[in-house]
Amino acid sequence: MITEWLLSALAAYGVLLLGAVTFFSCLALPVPSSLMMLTSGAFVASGDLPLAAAVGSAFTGAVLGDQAGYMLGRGGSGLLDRAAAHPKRGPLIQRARKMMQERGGLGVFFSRWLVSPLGPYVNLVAGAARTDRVQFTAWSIAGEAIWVSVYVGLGTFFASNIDEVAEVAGNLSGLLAALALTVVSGWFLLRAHRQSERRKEAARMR
Amino acid sequence: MLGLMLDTARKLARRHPVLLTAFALALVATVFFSARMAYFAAHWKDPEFHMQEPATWMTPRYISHAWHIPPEVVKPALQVPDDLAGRPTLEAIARARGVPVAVVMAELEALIASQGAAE
Repeated sequence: MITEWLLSALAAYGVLLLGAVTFFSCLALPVPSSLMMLTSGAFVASGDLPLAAAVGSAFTGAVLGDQAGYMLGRGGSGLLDRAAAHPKRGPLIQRARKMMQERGGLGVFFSRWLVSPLGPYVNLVAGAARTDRVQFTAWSIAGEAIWVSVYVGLGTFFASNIDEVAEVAGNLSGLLAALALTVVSGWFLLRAHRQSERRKEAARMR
Repeated sequence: MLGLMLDTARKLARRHPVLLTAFALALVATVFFSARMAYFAAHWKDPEFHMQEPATWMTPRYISHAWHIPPEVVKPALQVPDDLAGRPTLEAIARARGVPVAVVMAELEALIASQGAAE
């Protein structure tokens, strides 16, 4: 119902609303950002919206939304500091933070478009880990450019069946995100398992 | 083989319950999305699957573009008032005409049906 209302409002208020929706989607709010971008693409195809305005607004909203997410995470970085001082979990968190600082750029990039359901959480983590702001922004801009172009482009191209494209695209990005989580958690699980086996082995030798 | 797997799973559940739960949930989600993907692939050739349903957010220009109906046919069929500027949706058209949106939706469905018959 809210989706129907937002799509009607897109025709009424135009690209400003589109920018607002992509902004809030970067903060993990449940707004139908992909469907909105697809529909604005369809409106570009029908001549109801200019292409540059649709792409520009969705892109600006998304980049600003990433910045807002980063700031939120940064605001909570004190919590992470306290957790990193924890005797048991501390080392793991310190390691994760270091990994994010050193290699988080690609994570930011791919979570903009390829595994986009994870995007908002990566923003928070990037801010909380105090990753380099300039680098975060550069990867965010590059990734959002792809995200916005792909969805507005698909909407323009498949203007007459956007419902279907939205469903398939949404499912595909869900699948990729789930797959990424499976691989990453599986890898951590395997490592943890090997470590505890090794520890047990060492204890037996002693 | 199965015994070894069960033994490992039991060990993991005891030593790394959070990680194992996260892994299991991610795996279930992967299977779920894969199954939906397979469903879409199976219904891809279905012409019904590809049809956009008429909706209240649609504008005359969009309708014209999506169903390949000339704009000069769409406007009178939906009785779009001449003074309605910009991108009026079916909802806005109904409001301007002072009729329930269901009336305009029915007109659109009739228009699509008549075009289908004409082709």
